[in-house]
Amino acid sequence: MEKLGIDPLLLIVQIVNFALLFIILKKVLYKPILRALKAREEKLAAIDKDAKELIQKKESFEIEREKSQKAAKLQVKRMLDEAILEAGRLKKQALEEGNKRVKDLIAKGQNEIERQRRLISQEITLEAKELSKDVINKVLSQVLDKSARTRSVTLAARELESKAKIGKKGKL
Amino acid sequence: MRTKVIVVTPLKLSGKDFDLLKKKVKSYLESVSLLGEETVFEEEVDPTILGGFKVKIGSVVLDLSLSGKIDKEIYGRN
Repeated sequence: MEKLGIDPLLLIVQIVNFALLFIILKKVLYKPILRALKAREEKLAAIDKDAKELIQKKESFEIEREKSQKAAKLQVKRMLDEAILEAGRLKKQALEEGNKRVKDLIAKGQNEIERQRRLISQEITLEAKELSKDVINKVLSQVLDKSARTRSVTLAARELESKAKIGKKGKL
Repeated sequence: MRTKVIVVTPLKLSGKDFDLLKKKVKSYLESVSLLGEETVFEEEVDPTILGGFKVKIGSVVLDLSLSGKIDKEIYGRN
């Protein structure tokens, strides 16, 4: 070794020196760094776990949100259907009421027309009767002479006589 | 009780005709118990009754006139 230029004592010292340095570094430097690395890994793992949980929560929240949206859409659709049905029912009811009102009005109108017709008919009949009576009275007053009037008195007296004979009461 | 009977005729009757008419009216009034103990007949002329005669006893009227018959025919009343 001496031929190669290596001093054994120096080599031993260097080895001891290296070993001491290794031991000191291991104790003073490597261990804290490894601990820090381990702690960092654990922290990263925890963050990763939290992130996974958050993602899972987000997914479940999305699912819930979709469910809620579907339910809300269904409810809105049901409400719309009910509203359409109700509107149809109300429309039908309004139409029926309107038709009934129109029928009532027509019936009232017809009744009023009939009443007016009857009144007019009665008035015309009464006027015709009055006119007939006037004409008959005028004609008879001109046609009936004294003898005819006297004869009419005699005929009425006979009528009265027959009533008396029958013993019935005359119309008084 | 005195009863006043008015006989309405379309023309003035002769005394004989009126007496005959009075007799028949009296007979009728007896038959329907409308004749009082003392009855006074009065004659009234109304040309508008046209023919026949009417007998008035208070508010009661016996209508045998031609105008009454026409009314009855036309209006269905006396």
